[in-house]
Amino acid sequence: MMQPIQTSRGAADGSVQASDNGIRLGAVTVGFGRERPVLSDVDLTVAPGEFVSIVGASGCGKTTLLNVMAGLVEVDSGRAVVGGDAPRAGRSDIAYILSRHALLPWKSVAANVEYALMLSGVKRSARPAKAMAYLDKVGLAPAAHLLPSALSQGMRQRVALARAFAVERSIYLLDEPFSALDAQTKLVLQNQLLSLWDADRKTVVFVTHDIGEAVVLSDRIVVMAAQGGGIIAEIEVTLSRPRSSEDLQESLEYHELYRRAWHALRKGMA
Amino acid sequence: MTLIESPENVSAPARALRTQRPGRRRHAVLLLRVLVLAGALLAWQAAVSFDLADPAFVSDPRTVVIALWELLGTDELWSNLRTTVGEVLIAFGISTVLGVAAAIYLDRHAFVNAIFAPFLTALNSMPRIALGPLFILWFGIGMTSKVVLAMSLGFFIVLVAMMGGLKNVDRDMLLMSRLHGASDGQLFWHVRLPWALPGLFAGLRLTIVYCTAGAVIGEMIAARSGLGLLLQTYSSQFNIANVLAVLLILVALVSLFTGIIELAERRLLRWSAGSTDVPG
Repeated sequence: MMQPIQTSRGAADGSVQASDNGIRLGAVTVGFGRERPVLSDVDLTVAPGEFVSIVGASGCGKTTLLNVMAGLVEVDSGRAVVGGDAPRAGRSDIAYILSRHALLPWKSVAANVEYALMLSGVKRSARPAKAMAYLDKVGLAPAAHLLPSALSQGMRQRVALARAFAVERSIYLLDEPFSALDAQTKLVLQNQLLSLWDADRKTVVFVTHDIGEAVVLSDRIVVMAAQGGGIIAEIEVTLSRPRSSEDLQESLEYHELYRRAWHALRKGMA
Repeated sequence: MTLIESPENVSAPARALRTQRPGRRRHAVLLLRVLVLAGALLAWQAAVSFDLADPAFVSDPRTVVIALWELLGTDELWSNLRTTVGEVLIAFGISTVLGVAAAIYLDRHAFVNAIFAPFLTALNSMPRIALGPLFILWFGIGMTSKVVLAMSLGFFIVLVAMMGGLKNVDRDMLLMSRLHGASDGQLFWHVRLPWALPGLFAGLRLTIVYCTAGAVIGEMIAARSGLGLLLQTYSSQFNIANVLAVLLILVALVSLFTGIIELAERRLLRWSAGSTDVPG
């Protein structure tokens, strides 16, 4: 495994410890062989326990940035350190939630969660109780025996959330997990994500194109410019926790943050 | 069919489909099937009765039923049936095991697949029935040559079906499993194999039909025992009623095998109800 050696750029502020659950990207460049790189010299630091959202128009490279952290995309140059180590797919301290639920249609809801627990090396005897505990947290304990085909889209995504949190990783990477849901269901799931996260404050990087969602959830919003322009703004979200997505819709502070993020995003598109 | 405009079946199309009185419809289908069969039998009987057809060539329903009844009471039929059933089951079993194994191997080894694909296609496009006399020359007059002939059909059906099933496994499911730390073995047992099962079962239903055809035709070419031998004997004696009676027994046999496969399919694939109704 690679040592978290610091390169000259983007890491002037000291070394990262192995026990650190933070994320540090230094001068990350990803080109996919294109003339104009998707990411060029991107620096980003996420503190342990911090909830950071990345917003940007489609094609701005936000998912690529997340995939770099997940070890799904190789960097052309620069350095990525996640949880004190180089990213690698299938690492036991990183959870990745896709925008599609990716539930196995031949396994019941409970069996789907238990499957993830099995892959994570949880003992067979401990799996059912743990799966039920997390399904209960997203309000789906009564649906545990059903097949995914019997669930609504929102319920399936809730199972995916329960599955990801049941494996208890220290770093969570989410790629537009609620993008396929209607506005009301989205608010419900945002609240459930908040309460799952509040329980033990994992490090979260949340990619979305929905600014409202980013404001509701995060400690900090990172705005990316269109067409490989990189990070153009970072907005601290000062709203107090615990938050409720429904209540925030009526908060002035929420709308001011929304406006600032919107403004940055718009500038980045020009 | 009329669709009643009630709130439930407007809001839920799936439920609407179910509320079209399935019980009543099933009864109507059953009744119409009986009528079609009765009509065909009547036309047959009438053709013979009114001298439109020669019973020496086409027999008639009553004679066939009597022939069937008498055949069922003879040892001759049962010993020949045992031979054919044995051949079909052995060929089906080996075809399934080898076909599935080869498909799994070729799916994972693109290089080997690229080498062998044209040869497999060539072998599969050969009219296997025409190889029957050769197989009898090579493997003798006993069961082996029939099993080989049946397998030469069955193996390729299973291979093609299973390879098709293993193709295009949902990328998200593979990615999600990998990100949770799945090994190659776990990916196979929990994602690839279940994904391929509907395609495999569609192939198995076809395989049992072709294995039976292969065995019977092999027996017709040269055999010491088997329903194909019986067919050949009765044909050469112009015993049309017995030929048709043996064919009816074969229909019942294949229906029984298909029924067993469908039962297994329904148990294993409850999650994909209806998705394996591949025609042909």
